[in-house]
Amino acid sequence: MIPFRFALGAAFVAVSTTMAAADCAEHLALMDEVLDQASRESIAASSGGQGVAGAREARAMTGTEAPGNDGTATDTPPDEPQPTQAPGHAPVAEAGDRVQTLRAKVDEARALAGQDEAACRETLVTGLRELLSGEEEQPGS
Amino acid sequence: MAALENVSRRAVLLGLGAGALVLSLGLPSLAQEPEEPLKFGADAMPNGWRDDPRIFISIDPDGTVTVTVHRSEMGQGVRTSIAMAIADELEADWNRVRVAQAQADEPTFGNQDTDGSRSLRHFFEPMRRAGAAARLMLREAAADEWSVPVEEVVAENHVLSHAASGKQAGYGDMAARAAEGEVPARETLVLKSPDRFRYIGREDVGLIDNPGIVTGTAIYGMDAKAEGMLFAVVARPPVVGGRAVSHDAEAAMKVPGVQRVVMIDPPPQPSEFQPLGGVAVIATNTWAAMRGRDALNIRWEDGPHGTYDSEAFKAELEQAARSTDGTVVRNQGDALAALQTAQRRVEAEYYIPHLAQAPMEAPAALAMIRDGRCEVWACVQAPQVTRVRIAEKLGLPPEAVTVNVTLLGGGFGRKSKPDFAIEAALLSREMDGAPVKVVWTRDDDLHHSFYHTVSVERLEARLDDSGRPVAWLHRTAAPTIGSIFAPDPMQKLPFELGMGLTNMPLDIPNVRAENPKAQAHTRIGWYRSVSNIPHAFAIQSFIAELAHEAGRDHRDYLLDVIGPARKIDPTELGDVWNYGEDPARYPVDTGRLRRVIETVTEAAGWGRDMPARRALGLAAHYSFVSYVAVVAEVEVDETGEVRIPVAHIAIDCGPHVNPDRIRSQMEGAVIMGSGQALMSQITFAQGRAQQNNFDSYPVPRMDTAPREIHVHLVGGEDYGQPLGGVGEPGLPPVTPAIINAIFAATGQRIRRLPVGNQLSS
Repeated sequence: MIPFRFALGAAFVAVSTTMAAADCAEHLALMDEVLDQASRESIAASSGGQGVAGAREARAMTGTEAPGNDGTATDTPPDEPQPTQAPGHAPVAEAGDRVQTLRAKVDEARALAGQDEAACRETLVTGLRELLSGEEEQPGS
Repeated sequence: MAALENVSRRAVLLGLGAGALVLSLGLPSLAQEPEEPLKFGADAMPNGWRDDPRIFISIDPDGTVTVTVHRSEMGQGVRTSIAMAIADELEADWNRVRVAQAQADEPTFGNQDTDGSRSLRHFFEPMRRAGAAARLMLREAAADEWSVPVEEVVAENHVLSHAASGKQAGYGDMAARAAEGEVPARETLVLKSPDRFRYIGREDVGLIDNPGIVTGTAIYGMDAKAEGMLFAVVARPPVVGGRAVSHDAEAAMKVPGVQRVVMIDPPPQPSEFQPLGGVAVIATNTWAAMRGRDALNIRWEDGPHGTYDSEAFKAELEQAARSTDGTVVRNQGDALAALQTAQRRVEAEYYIPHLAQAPMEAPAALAMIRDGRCEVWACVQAPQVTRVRIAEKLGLPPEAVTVNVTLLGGGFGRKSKPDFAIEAALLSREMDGAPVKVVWTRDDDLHHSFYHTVSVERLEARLDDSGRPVAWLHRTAAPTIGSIFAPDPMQKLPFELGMGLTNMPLDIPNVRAENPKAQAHTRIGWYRSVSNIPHAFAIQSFIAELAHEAGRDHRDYLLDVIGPARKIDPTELGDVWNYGEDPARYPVDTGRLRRVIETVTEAAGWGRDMPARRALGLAAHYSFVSYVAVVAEVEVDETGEVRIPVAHIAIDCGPHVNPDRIRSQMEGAVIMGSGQALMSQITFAQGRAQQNNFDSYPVPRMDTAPREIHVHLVGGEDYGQPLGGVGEPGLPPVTPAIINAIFAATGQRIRRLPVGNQLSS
């Protein structure tokens, strides 16, 4: 299992380097598989409780860590999810908001498929590029 | 697939292949990691779950069974329900079962955060297994004692017996021997079939804490006592992020009984669950502490949120909800294009104010420090978080902090945040470890809550010729809970959006959901059912508005818009939370949603003739993996006064472990939801919450509560089905059902909560 950012990178390579040759529908199918897996991983990282979900997602979205005793960051607060998942899982799980955003972009591209293949592919590439550039801005990524 | 031959779909997923391009991304090392199955729900919780009977069950020589419950009891009956699950599999006599409350210790007990409507969802099966394991251990002990095969030993209703020899023993007789035995492997346990349940699923078990509650012997946070205990109240900054710049400690010290005045530093922002800071007055009794606080004459510096004003912020949220620059969080079809060409277009905006959880028991905690250890008694929903945060504050290891969890006089999410317990620990330290109880007054509670967010929900739809929606746009603008955890994320988190927005299951071809930015100016926290409240209110109100526009019966229209029974993978809707549950095991099942609507409307006599200014209103909502529908019967008199003579509520939450408690939770939800609809709100001016007590923050009382509440339990026969939540899902559809009924009765559409005096003009 690989972190979402790498899946995104690989997907970007796949979509952008084969733009002219493939139907957009094939690219969409590829993206659906990436997103299905990433969505499931994001769900799995949740405890189902609003406390842990809120802390995890907020810190992931802003690239911050938990406040410690004196306001400094601590690496792993004891009340946070323990690493019950496979190694390499956590970075994928933290990408819930990005998965959600990319899903919306993929669905936007889906609406174009069959009508304007180039626009469909361009929408996918743009969405991936935006997310990847956002990834680069994330501290520690 | 020729074009993708260099990067197969699978390869992208696993990071394999793709040659040099992928090598440059550094994937090969990750590809070495073995793929492991994902865990969901209970399996994926922090510290997971436990089912070792030695943790949860003890049996005295006299046969008394004590079940240790690690979830917090706040009226939802979890201490009873967990004991029922264990006692049933243990084959214990319910009259000989007692419960004890676990201290904070997640490494031992598993997750203890009592939130998310998941205590039974996550622990029903582990607790059954613990009971079954203990029963087998007792049988093995008896077989050993009697030198007979274990298969021939029967455990039934607290008695072990061997038919062939006629031998019998009580559980207490074999308990010590059983405790020495091995705990049977989980996979060897055989759980009872539902037709053999003694307690699970029965309506008449009762609440195990009832005797203590009705006789006044039950211990809540406010009841905790210790010898030599001092009492403290805290004057907290009236504006979040503010601080005291001066105060008159001398004046406070002149009040007889006041022992000490202590400054508590305001926390850095975001403050998570840390105390707000302020000035504490410690005294020999609560009254003296309160009078001392009154004398402090504090001058406050308000900080950046000193201009927070609810009316101005409402306008800001409306502006945000009308803007097109929000993040797109769901985009199915092309809603924008469809809306642009609409002949029949409907739009509406809904406003949902801040709310305070306002549990009947305000926050209270007692702490003392002795010999390098801190001991706390507190009414907390999150004991382990309480333990860890206190340990951090005191510079102790978590193991040196003991958190005793009392009963909670209501929680609703407020008591998930242990700021009040941290205050007690800090003040005890100031008093050289003496026991200090921090008492919050009702004013304190309403002024310094972790409030339910405030939101504007904007919806637009295009209707086809039949009046059915073919395009749907929903923008939600609200400060996020994430603002207490990170530097103001400005947008709702995926778990908030997954509460009825992104996972909205209506059968509409073009759906778009957007989330514009909104800044938090106070502490935002979770409140029973969380973001489902605004989402359900807006969506269920809007559907009623569309039905009216289409000239169709609301019930028929709602069922039409939900569409045929189908199971939807929530991830395909863009939901990346799904209440933490496996999307395959917990799809969004529109058939179950339809069934609760059909049940509740039939029970309420939907469609019958009603007197003038009296009508039925309907709403339904899926949340916490359960399905709920409500019909409210409302009458509105000529002065605009609203009464709710009858309400019907139907829930499908999977198996009904404790039906009496499900009914109780639904009844409570109807009452709480009627308060949200008609009377409750927190407003801010100059950064300060304006409501002081129940005079200005009214909640339903006996004269205003719905007079009859009929609960209908749907499904529940199949124990092979996964459990849904119960504590929270009843609430979201109540308010829109009432508002829809008001419209049906008066023709006035309420889009701003609460109703207040909007009908009297």
